[in-house]
Amino acid sequence: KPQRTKLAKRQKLSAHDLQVARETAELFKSNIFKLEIDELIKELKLKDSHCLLIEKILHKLHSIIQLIPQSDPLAFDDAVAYFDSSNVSIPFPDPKPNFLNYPLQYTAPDDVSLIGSFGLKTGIQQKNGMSVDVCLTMQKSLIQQKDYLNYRVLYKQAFYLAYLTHHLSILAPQHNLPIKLTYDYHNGNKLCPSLVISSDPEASSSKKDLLFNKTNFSIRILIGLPFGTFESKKLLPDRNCIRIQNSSVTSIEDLPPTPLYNASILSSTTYSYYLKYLYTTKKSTESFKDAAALGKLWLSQRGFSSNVNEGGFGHFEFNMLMAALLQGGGTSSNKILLHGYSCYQLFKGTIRYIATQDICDDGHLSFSSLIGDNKSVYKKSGFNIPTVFDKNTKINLLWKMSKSSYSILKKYAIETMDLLNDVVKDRFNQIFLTNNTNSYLKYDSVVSMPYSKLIELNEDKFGSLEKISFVTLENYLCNKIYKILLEALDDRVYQIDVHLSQNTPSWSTGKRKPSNNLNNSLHLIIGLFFNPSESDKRVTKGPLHTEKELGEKFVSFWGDKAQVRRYKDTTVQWSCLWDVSPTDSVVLTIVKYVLDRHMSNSANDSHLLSNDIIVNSSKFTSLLPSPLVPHSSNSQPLILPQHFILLKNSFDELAKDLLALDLTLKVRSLLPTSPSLRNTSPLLPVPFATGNPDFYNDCVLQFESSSRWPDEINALEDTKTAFLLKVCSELLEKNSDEYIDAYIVKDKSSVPYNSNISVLRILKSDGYGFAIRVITENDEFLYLRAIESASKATGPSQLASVELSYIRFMQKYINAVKHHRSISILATHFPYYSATVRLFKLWLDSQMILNHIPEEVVELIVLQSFVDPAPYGVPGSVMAGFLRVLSFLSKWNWREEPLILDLSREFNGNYEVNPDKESYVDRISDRLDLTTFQTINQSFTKLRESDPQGVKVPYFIGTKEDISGKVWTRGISLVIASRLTSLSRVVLDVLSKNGQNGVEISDQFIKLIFTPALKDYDVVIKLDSAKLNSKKLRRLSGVLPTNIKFKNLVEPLTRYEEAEKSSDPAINYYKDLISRFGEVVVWSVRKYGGLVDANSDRVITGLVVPGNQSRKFRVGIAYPIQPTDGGKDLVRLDVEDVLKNCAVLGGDMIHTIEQKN
Amino acid sequence: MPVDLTPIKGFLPLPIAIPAVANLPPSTHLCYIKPHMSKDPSEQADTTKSLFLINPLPLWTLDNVKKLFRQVNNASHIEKILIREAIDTSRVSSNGSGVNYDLHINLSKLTNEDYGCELEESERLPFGSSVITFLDRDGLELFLSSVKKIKKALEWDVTNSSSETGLQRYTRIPYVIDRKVAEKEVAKTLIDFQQREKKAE
Repeated sequence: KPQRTKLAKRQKLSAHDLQVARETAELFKSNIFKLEIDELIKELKLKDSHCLLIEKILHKLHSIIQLIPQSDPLAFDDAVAYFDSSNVSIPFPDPKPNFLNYPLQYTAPDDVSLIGSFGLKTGIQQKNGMSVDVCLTMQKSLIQQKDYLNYRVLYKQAFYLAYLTHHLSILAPQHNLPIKLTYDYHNGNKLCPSLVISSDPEASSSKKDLLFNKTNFSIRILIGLPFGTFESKKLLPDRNCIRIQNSSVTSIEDLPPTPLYNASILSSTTYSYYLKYLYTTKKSTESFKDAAALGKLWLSQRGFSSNVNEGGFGHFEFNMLMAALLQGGGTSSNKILLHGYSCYQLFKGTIRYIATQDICDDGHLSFSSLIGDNKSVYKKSGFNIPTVFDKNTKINLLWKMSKSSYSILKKYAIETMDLLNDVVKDRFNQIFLTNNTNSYLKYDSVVSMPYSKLIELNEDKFGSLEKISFVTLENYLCNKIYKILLEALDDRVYQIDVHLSQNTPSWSTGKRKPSNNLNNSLHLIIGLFFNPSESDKRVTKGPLHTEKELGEKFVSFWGDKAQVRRYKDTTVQWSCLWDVSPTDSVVLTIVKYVLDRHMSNSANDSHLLSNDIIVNSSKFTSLLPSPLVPHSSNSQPLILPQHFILLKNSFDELAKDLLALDLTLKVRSLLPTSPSLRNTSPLLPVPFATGNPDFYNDCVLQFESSSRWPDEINALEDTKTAFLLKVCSELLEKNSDEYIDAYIVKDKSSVPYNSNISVLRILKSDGYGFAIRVITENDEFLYLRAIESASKATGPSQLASVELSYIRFMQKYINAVKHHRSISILATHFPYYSATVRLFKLWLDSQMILNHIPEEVVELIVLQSFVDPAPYGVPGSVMAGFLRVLSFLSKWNWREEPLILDLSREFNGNYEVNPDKESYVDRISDRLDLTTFQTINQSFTKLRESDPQGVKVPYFIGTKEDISGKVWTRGISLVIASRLTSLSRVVLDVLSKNGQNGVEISDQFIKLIFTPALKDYDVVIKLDSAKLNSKKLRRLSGVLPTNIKFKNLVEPLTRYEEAEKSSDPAINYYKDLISRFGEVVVWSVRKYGGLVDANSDRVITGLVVPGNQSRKFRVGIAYPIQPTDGGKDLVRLDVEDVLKNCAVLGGDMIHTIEQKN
Repeated sequence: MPVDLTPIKGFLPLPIAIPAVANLPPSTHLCYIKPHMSKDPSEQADTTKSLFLINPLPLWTLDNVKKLFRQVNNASHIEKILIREAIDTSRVSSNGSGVNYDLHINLSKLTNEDYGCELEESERLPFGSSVITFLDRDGLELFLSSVKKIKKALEWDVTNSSSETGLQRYTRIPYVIDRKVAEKEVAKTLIDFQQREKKAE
């Protein structure tokens, strides 16, 4: 009976728990997510003390505004003359008027009200401070019916603003409000100047003065018009409201529409109106405020705001969309969001709407802001511009957005949906906390050009008709470039972002508009999001040759590049053929070509835009060393250079030959484990390049199954050796044309305590080398038996050491094969993975870290940015990949966070433009499921319980293949792991400080990040560069020499150098040092000695391991010791003696040994 | 510089001067010696004429040691030396230590207790130690009594042909096996294997 009660109780409890859990899951995704959101919203809240102070200021300001005297109606000249004695100009928008046939006047505003997020109380803390928007509504009597035409009302507003500015500047200080006044285009809209008021402590003279500089708030004054001033129909987006004389236009009807102008004027009548609308929605929807805060943060983390130059979609637009979706928004007016939703549901619903509904080309959202009207519906007809249309005000709320910014917003929304739907990992960080506004990281490639140059070449094309449609030159240029690139690049890119490097800054109230000099430092930035599977195709295909009209269009767009080509399937098509380059993506070649063709004066070579174009990504790709091959075969594509393919073919041949050998046991398989065979070796495999440290490609050979392998490890290794010798002689005898030489070396390092392992090195006549080791069914069994025996043995425990032998064996023979398999598949799936890993390894090597981290670990770390790229996309260029890997490392708190990678092949399935292109098998391949994820997480927790600081295993990298997470990372030194983190931070830090966001990264900076900081080390051994002959080593590594005059005269390697002459003594010396003194000194060297600058010394550096300063004298201390001055029988590490030993061993190779005191 | 020969835990310090090299000044390396007492009963006979030394230098070859010890006493002849350097080659392939310097692990015996082979004599020495065997016991005793009287550090001279250093040492590809020799050595194992295979068939 008691048992039953217990059971009932438990059931009752769990039912309740279940319900709560289910509710939270529905309302907030999960409990953790809810807690995270709650915490975030709390943190985002504006400080109460700041708000109180600002309210006080606003009251003061309000009373000052009331004191401003009314002006007489002033004729244009009088109005201008009014400010003669003051330091204020009228911020007339372009075109600047010379005469106006109507008066300008200031009368007390109809209404002064708070608008924007502060008014709505949805403001959040932001880095650049909070802007409190205040709207002064002009009296209706000042406006005439026709004022919506030809800038009339804009000129009146401008005068109104200047008059207000003038009087504020006089009155405010008198009333204890020391302020600084500047003009600023509201949201970058050059038709809408506003006044920004900030606190000016320097002008303060009395203690009574009200200062608010510490709040980081500023107040923005906008001049609004009364709601309904104009007949809104006349300002519909398709109407023309700027009447101009133009030779090509005969009647008003033929003038182009002026949507931006119209929307700008209508918007200024709705400032307070929309505030009321949003306020009502907020009142009826409890979580609206929090959802608005989430939306604002989400947008700002992705660089979006209401500013035209920042996408034109910000807090206001997000809130309006959310409000419209609370009224309906579905195809049959069905409600997309419900008033009872949690903030998470509101946020997610809105993001989903952006992600899934096309409100640009195929449809638009139509709603009514009339309270109670509730007419919000998705209509299936698009205007070809992003549209959320308010039927009541006749404003397209997204008027500041471009097609380009819309496509990018949609991309982010889709990616965020993927993250929100992830049931395995917690994605809160990537959704809300990670900032993605650094152009170098955000785009796959950034093309920038000096804005002044662009103006110089294109100003004449900005005629009067363009002026009225596009309002500003930059808008016109951005649009034009976007259109050209969209047509030229087609599906080679997912999105194109075109914007200026800086928003128009605020300017002195003494000037009508900001100075033109600013243009000199401005750049036009083209951010490209590549479609890696299309971006590097060599051919751009056009219409069929028979389609005349389309053909002509194609030719007129592409010019000389257009040619007719016949394809294998016998179609004859207009096409363009592009050269491939080892440093530039084809996309960049096309961008340069079309910009020259359409945005330059192509008649004059010196007036080509491409001369001034800056492409940072090429600077990074050119860091990948060029292979030493004949000039003709050197222009290989970056993505899959032929060198890897040739090596792979050679490997396949070898495997075939081995399989055909007649041995006691047949060869079953040859399994590759070498970086070059999975396209991840820093140096491209070049035939006969025996100086390349990766020249011999490791492989594991498996014979057909047998139970007769010896039952003891030494005999087993001897038998394997015998087999290898047999293989060796058979190969050399039977295929003497294909195999030049083969020899056996002992591998004394892979498995501790087993120094009897043999490796067969084969030199093929095609110039490639392979190193083969044998695995049998008996190996693992014997190691396991050794573990068993060790656990039973008496005496000091040998278990840990024997286990380590087993682990190292597994690494070398089993895990390496598995790892190779996964990586080689993924390397073909992600076109830019290979080049990114290669560059990243080179960077690690340049920092002398590569030798301390197994290459497998490096490959997995780099993979993170590809399989789990949020908040970025899958890297589409080496630069993006490289910097994102650094960014990941700089943020990875590996002591507390495991890195769990999903190596399945379904990535961003929704996001692909053509999901059909992926095969079905690819899409259904197993993703990491929740159970596995949790198991991996548990092993991390367990690991950190025993090793909280990460001394034994700093990095935990879990995959389906390695639940333990430490197969490759065990033994990485804590010092090295910490160093890598700090180096990554330094690079990113300097990068974000290095010039403007998106503009040129200097060569000097790039050189700097690839230079090691030698002063950080305790010991620096400089080797004699003359003795080491680095030029020769470079050549033997298969790397093109530096500073060569005639690239076509480069002599490639054509035969094998004597083995002894091609080894790198510095590396052998380094290996000797780590074997002897690795316990007390952490030695570092560059693995790729051939890449060391021929003019500088090669170095081996050392960090003395702390903690060997004093210990009891005993037998078995495995490093040079000397007695300490203190205590009896105490000895310590003798560093000088270690260095002396190094010097003796290094002999003639040593130049100097420097020790830091 | 006078040498301090205060014994430490029964070991006598043996100072060895290393001349200036590269840009490093001359310095003194300390080895520690005492008569060898093997725990292994089969080696008891030898213990009487052997010297146990810890902290040996690199290039610790018979030639070099002879040259070194001759400086103490010309009459003590060295028969052979055993050396177990503190070297962990497994660091080359991986990170962190693979070898525990406090243990002697015989993987062969652990995989097969019955047929596993024993560790070689030198492999049984503690890491970072050497055993120097003199021709006879008198030689050892003479050496020990002379060493206490030395006034200055011994000189370590490695400029002979048997001590490869620098380029000469490190240009070689490590651990290459002569195919012919190897074939002879392992041929039997393959024959054994073939026989076993045949039997199984």
